[in-house]
Amino acid sequence: MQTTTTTITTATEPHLPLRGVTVLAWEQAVSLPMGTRLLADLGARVIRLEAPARGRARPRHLGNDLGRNKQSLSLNLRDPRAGEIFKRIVTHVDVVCENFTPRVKRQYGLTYDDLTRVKPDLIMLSLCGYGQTGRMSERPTFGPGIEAASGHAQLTGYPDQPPTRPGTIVFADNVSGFYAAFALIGALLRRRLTGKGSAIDLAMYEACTYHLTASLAQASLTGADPPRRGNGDPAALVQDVYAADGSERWLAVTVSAAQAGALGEMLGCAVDPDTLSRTLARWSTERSAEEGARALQAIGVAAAPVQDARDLLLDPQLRHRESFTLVPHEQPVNGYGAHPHAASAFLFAGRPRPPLHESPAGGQDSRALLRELGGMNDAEIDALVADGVIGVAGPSAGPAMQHADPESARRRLDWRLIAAHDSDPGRTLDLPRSTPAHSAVTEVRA
Amino acid sequence: VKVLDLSRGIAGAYASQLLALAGCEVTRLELDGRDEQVDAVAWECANRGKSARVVADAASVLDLIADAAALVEDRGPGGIEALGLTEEALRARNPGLVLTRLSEFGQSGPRAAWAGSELVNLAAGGLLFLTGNWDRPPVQLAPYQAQMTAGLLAAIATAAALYGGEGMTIDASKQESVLALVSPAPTEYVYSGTIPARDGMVSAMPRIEHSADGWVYAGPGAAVTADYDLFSRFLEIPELAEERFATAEGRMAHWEEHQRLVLPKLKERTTEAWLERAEEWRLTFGPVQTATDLLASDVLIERGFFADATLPQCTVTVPLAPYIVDGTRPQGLRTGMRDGPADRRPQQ
Repeated sequence: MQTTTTTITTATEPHLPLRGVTVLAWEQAVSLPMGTRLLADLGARVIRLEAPARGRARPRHLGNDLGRNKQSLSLNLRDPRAGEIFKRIVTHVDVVCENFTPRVKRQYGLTYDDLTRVKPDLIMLSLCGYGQTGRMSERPTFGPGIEAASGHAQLTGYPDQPPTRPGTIVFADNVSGFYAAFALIGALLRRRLTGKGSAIDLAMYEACTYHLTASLAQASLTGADPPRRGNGDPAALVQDVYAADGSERWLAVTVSAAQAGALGEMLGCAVDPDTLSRTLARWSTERSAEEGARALQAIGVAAAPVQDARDLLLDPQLRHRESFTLVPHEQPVNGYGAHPHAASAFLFAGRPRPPLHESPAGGQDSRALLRELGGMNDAEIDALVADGVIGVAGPSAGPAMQHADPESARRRLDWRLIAAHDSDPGRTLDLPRSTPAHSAVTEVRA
Repeated sequence: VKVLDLSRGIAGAYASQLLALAGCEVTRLELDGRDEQVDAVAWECANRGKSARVVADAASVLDLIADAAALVEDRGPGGIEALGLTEEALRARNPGLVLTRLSEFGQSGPRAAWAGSELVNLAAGGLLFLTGNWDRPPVQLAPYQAQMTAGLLAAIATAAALYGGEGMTIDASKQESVLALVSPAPTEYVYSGTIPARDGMVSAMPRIEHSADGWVYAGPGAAVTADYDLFSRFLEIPELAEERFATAEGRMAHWEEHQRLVLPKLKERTTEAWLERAEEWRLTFGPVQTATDLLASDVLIERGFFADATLPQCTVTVPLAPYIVDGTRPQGLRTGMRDGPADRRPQQ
């Protein structure tokens, strides 16, 4: 049996506030992985539990938005021996969280009641579509269905168009993940005061509906549903998205009543809302979104270019804040040794964002974790690997990996290289032809 | 654990409200009212569960700070300084203070002085570009989504800092909070070279479509793993089982034909009939609900999601807490604002 040396990669920045907290994340899809990623961003040690991979493993870099700075433990919970190992590890952790339909943890005997027998002050969070109780609790769900069910789609879009989904396919997942992170930190604070753990029941349906509190309160007052409002806002004198110079270039503008005079003067037009908006629409097509935003901001009007993915990577403000971090790859990907990913979501003044380590391969840390937290020796681990109870990292795969060469390992796809593609009329990055289409999307959908 | 709140907008008010939900004792310091972009009902809702206290000036804030674990504000760079409050003065009174500073673009940097709004936050953070139809301009989300998200992330950072027990300053930006919702898009771009576009990321399967009597979310699962053999039998459309519809890429390439087959079929049954059938087949269909549908949702009501809250001018129905702890919905936000003098409350 091959024995691999495992490097344990956890965020160890001394200032991170959740250092010392250990989380066992029995997670899938996007929602909970986003929540536990935030805990890792804040310094918690997050152990991601996954089933042993069948076939070749997915390329690691595709998991970097959700799996970076986590460790990977692979157990086949269908085997009762894996459940025993799970419980042994639970005695060493502060938090267990999972996002399966409720019957899954019952099926494996890993409910909160089962686990508090071995760890009385355990904090456990269960996240699913419609909650742990009620007639819809076992309904399998993905984020886009929740966006529709929780009212977001109905409130998004133009008045003359159908309900529209919030952009990206992971809005509901991310919002639910954020609430999961908050609920868990709240439970840690409570445990410190009371010495007691707790069981948290978080439904994506409820998290996303909660995010619409103001709209629900308003509807409860009037008894009526507000129409989809396009880009308008009753609190603004003028608000809209205007076409700027170029293809798919747009300028977002919000004008308050107090700013009408200054804006009318700059545009040389009357100060009624219709004239201002009509004149802005013409004015904005004559310049880049960037120039338009700067001119409006110079007179105090809230405005910004409607930034696409590339704009975000080049945005001088986000660069100043180091909102993206280069993640070094184990092997070069598409000819680069490192790619930018969203940095830790939190900026503590005067302190650097923590470094990001590539998402682990499935089972990469199994051996080290089982020795450390499972109290197992190598012979015991090898036997259970042979029986398929424990998974260890296999060869990672993917067309991207075939481009490895020593030169490319040193090239980092930083914002300067991205900016160097400015002259490209197609505004696309120059990447090898074998780049898998929609690779990152494929990962978040999986 | 005592928390003070000097916010004028939903983002800061919501951040401190979440801390109240987590058991902190939150006091809203009433100084100069709310931001003009915030409507009265939203403002009152975001201040439930807190007490209020009128403060005359910076000196009275400094008097209260020694006793507080955290101060939340959303006045932007120089905002509290203009009131006469500096970080140095606050830390001199309370070295362990967690200071949560929310702003549009951040406390420093080339755009730190830029003005913001909900729409501008969504634009600068990258979510606006991705929302809407490909043949229409980008369109914003439901009210206050950037503000709520920024407040939620600031509350996470603040709660974590309180747990860590070390005084620090959190520099939370609304632009960057929106970016946190969008992180797959830059990732897709840096690995594929293609800028994700509106609608481009969603057309690999049906989404929100017409049923016989309204709308239905008609996605059969996750795009890459959707089983189109099963979906073909479910919809009783044999052509959907053909090879060209088996993968997300294939469906995108044959999208018009896909929609020509699927859309008329979805109009043959009511939304409720589709939902029942989808549940039998374990497909992830869903209703497209409005705010009033949600207020009447039996699932939410049975789980104790809603309560009536008495605000100064009216009584509204609001969600109590986003989660259940030990079988009980937390009740800490049941109250309206307490102790605030009526004349300081925003008029509707």
